[in-house]
Amino acid sequence: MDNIAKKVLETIDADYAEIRLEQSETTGLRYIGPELEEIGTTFVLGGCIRVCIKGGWGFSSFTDIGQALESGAKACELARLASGDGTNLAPVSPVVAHRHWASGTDPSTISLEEKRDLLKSYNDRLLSAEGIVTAYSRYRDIRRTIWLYTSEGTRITREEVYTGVGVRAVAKDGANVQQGMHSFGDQRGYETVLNREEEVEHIIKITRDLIRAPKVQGGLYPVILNPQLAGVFAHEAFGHLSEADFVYENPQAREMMKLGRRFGPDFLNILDDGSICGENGYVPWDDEGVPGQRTSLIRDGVLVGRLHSRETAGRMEETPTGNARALDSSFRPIVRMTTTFIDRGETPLDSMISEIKDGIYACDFLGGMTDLERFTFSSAYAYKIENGKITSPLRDVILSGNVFETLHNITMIGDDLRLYGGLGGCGKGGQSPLPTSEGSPHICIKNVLAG
Amino acid sequence: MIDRILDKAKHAVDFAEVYCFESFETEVSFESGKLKNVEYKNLSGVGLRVIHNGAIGFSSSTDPNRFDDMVEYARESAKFGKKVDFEFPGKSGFQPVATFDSAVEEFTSAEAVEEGKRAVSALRELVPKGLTDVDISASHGTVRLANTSGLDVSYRVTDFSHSIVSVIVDGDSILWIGDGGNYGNLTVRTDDYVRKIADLAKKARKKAPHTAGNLPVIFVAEELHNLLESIEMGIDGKRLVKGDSPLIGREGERVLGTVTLVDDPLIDFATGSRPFDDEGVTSRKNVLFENGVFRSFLFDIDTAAKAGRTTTASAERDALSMPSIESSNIVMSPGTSSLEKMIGDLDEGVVVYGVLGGGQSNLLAGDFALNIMLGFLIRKGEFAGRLTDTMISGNVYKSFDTLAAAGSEIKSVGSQYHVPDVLFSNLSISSR
Repeated sequence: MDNIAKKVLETIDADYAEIRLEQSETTGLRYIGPELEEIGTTFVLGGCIRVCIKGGWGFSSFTDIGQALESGAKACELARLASGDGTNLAPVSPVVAHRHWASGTDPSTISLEEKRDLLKSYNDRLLSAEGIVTAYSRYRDIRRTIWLYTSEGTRITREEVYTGVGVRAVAKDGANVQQGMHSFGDQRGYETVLNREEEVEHIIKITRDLIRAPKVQGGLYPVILNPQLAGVFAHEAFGHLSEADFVYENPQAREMMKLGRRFGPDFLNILDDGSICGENGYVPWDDEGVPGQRTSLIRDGVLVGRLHSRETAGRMEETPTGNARALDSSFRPIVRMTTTFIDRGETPLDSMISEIKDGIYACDFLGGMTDLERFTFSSAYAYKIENGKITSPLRDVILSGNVFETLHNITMIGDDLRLYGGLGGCGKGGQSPLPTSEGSPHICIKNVLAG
Repeated sequence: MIDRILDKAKHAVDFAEVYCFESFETEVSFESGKLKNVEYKNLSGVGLRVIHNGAIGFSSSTDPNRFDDMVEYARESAKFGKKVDFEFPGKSGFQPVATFDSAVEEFTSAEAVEEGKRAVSALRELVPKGLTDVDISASHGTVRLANTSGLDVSYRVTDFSHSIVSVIVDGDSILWIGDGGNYGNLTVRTDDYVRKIADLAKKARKKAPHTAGNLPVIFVAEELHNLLESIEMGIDGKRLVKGDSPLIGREGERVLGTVTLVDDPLIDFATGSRPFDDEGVTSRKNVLFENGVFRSFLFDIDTAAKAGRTTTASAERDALSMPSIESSNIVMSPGTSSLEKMIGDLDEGVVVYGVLGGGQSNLLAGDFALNIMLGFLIRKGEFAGRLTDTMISGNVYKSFDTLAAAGSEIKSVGSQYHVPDVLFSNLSISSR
């Protein structure tokens, strides 16, 4: 790889150039009902070259490594087409490093049979439960090596290993179909997917609750979000807004996102941290070779930082944060989150619940989206809170609101911070799913629109 | 190389099928009115599906050095794979359908840059408060499918996609107004997209009073997919076999108002079109709902065998994954109205041009809850301001019972929908 990269970089005449090569091996298994519908291994070898000339980017990607030189010339030609008012990348020190993945048991050392048996045991547990008509269970591990070389002297080889399982149980009563789901996954090795029987049992309980549960009555409620859902809230309702690529070329957006602006109560702290080893969002170096790091976005309720690539940092005269990430070697890096979370507060869950007369306890997530001003996300399951107690289950609790108002409406933050990865990930600019982690303690928000 | 893999597989497993895709894509993107990025991608991949001792196995690769290993891995996985009672089909017929336009293949990034610049400067005039993002991509590729039963077929495809978005930030308000299209042939409609964005931006300046209750709602054709996605899950033959579709046992029953929906892979230059599906079965038109009556699930070879039906040629895949059941182009029959007339006839109601949150509810059951990103209150046939903090919710199947009108023009929207603008007489609107 070194030789290819060296040759390519030598031929390129540009303000900045990088070549990224990637080799990966993915093993996937999927049960639908009792049958193992999918099983197989995928090998990917690919690469890309990105070049900046006078502020314009040319990008060329390939799956045939033999095309690397030709591809470099193509990237230069395209960058010249895009060239504009000058290259302005925030300076960084070149990194020369080689990082092996060594966080747990490498899933590639586990036999296909063992993986199958594990997934089957979770799937059988769901299928044998009373009231469950069918189940979906998915296993995936990815072992990936990435080589990054830049014209500034960075030479990084790093490995990523993800292991994850997703389970889903379905209950059906006529045309009423309800699903309980859960996934677990991160970069901590094969151990991550072991001993999850309790969580699988919990899914059975949720699914049975949901098929009997009434729809939530639409309206405004005080809502307690469990740590997983609150993490998605942090990601959707604020994380995307803090990505500098939305802001850096837009004067009105810059004004709106001025550092020092108050965004929430003074006990609200939101961070993005690419340096937490083992998390889905662990990025020792991003795809521009900038070290993953902890970035405070909101401190004591006030906007203090944002997520950058070298270009957005350069143009805004701020410091790069290691958030330029690409889904794989066929994509250019864009500004993305890593591990995004609301920091620990002080209120225990019990006292949070006891303060609510008529509200909702919303747990886990089905999905979330934002247009940066508004957000919407759906909880996987929920309960009513009546007179300070969690009572009966509710289904179809979808929460939405205005980002700027809702952060101010956070009334309590719990003392039980947890981070979550899982099998899914974040989507942006056609690059999905990018592994990220989210987390939070329990939080309470007043006046949330639930429908 | 496809022949090399097949040849090797022949000796190692009972049956084998190789799917190969190669694509060349050019893409140009403008951010906030500036040309930022020009891309060229040449990607290829090979997927190998085998049946060995009656069980399915799979492996795929983009790495030519791994092509020999693929056979081993696929055979190994078949040890654990699902038992199947079908074989890969032999020679099949082509249905004539246009999927390739040489004008897309010849479309250059320089031409794309010119188109982008035109949109940026037009919108700078028409929507001075907005900053324009433009994305134009043109790709061409080849699908080839061969198996040990003697099938060896291929066809070429082109894809042209164009999107223009005006982003208007004003105080704490962020408004995205976009338009675009996705076609199999070169379809440059910059002027149409710009005109529509400018028109909507003008209408969005005024804010509507808070609106709630059960109201008539118009979905423009571009947004109807938010409701149709649930139906596509319901008609998946895999869900019939697995027992979790809400449409099980309802063939012949009226379940979708009076709507006629057809799965049609034979529309020239539509992005879901194909002469044969990704298992090599000759494409055919499938009537899904006829005047609201549910007619058929969609099947691939495997689920058809399990359900005792015939395949509807609905297998779809990319090179790196196993086939699954997908609709091709979804065509809804037209009505007799038009968007202008439906709006003009509304005493009080809502017209929806953009939503947030599609795909997050219990889609399978048909439930939806959509946050209106760009929508307007209509009073006495006139636009009465842009709605904010407003949600529409309901159940897709029940909603179609209230379908009151549809446009006479079928619009090609998104990547696979051919539908009119529609009016539902009664959907639930909530707001804060």
